[in-house]
Amino acid sequence: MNEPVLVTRGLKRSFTQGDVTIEVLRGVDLEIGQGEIVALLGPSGSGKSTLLQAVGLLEGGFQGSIRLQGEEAAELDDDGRTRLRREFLGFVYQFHHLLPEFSALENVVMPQLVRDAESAAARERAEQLLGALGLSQRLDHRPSKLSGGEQQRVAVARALANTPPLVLADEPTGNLDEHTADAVLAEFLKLVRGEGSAALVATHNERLASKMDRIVRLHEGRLQ
Amino acid sequence: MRRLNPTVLALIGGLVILLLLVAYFATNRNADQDKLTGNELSEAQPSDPGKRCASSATYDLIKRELFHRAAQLRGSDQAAYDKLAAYAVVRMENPVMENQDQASGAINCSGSLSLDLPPGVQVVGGRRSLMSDIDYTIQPAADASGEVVLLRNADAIIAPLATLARVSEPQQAPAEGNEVTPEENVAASESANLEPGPPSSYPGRPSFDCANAHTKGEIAVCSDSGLSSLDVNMAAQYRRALGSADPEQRAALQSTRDRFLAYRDRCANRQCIGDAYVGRMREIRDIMEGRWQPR
Repeated sequence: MNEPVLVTRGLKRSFTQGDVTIEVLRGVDLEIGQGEIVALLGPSGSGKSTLLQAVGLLEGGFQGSIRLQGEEAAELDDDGRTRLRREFLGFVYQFHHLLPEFSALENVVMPQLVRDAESAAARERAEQLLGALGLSQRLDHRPSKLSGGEQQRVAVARALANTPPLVLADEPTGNLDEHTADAVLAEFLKLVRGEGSAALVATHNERLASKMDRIVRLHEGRLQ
Repeated sequence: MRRLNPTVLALIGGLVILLLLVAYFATNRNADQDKLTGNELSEAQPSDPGKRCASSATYDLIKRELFHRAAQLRGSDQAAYDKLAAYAVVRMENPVMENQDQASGAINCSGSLSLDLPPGVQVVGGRRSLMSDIDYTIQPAADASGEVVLLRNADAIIAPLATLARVSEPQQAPAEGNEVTPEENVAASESANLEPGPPSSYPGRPSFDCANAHTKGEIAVCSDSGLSSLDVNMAAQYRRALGSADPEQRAALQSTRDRFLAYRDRCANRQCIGDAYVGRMREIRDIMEGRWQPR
């Protein structure tokens, strides 16, 4: 049996403000198989983003185990965690986080060059992804010249540029109107499935969550 | 055994007390040596927290941290990036102290950072300059070895910096500038060979004929391969810009050219001339991208 791309065991995270300690994650156990698309459902403030931050190795301060592609994150130093992020993860955020000084194409080429892709091949791959998302005519546009839906499509292409085994998406359509959100999510899911990647998609929207392979609900710091 | 007389004993006792006093004051002075005062302070960081946000020592720390994090993101050889950092130029516009944590001594600052890469290397899109608003914190190092700078919101610099690649070397100094700059992506295993431009990219000939050099700036450029390569890059950028400029941009390019040359020729040292070229290249780019404001 193939090893899951992600396994968390007993994942905990608390924040202290003055004398008050808030336990956001109280022992999260989660497994995501290869190519599986999982919706992480929960209301605002339930800890979805905190869980994605943990799994994305973006912040410290967590207790418990996170295994990505069989590697235990707690055993890695800073360089090791950076390597895991670079090689195994793709990120899509609610706000696109594209680099404003670079064109759509360059934003998608960039993560490939960081992984030492050959320049022409990286460009071809970026054009293919952006073309699949209907942005062939927008390659040279900077983010500020793109609509919200187009910006988010570029962010999707960027996340998938290196064909990561796992894509982490935090409310990827939360900043879009309903019609655009549906269209972007459909394209995102189609691309992720086509690439064979797995995904963990945080959302508070039941309707969007229903389009994914499996739903897990975050309630009072635990998964249901 | 002969007995010492009381006078000799008193003299020995006095000498011992004197030695103890000298040792006491010498020890006390050493304890104070960790505190930077007077000239030592002026050579390191200014004491005014606001000025520390804008000190050259802080900018140097920022530059090194940017290259450090880019190398880490790339999974590349840190030493190669460190070497390049030494040749890169960081500028900060509008550095502002946001606040200071009295307990930890940390100073939070923000500013608009520009990083100019040395000739011979470029990042995604063929860029040699990167700009972004960043936040940074100056604080004592955990191991008390000095100060460190923590960067926030610097991904717009770090991510493209992690795509650093060599520019293929021209066979000879280009007559029409280096419009075509095929890039060679630098694999992690090769990155130890990364060298900045001055020693390797050009054979040391600037864009003008050194036989006719007569100003102080021209003579300095002709005698320095690093400055020569900067001059070649700037001249090529200028020619490309002129070729695609509208009438207004063309006028701005030409009117600022004389000012740049006059400034360069007043420079007293190599650093000043290098900075002048880097600033001129950014000025040309700003003119072409509509960000330039007449002075």
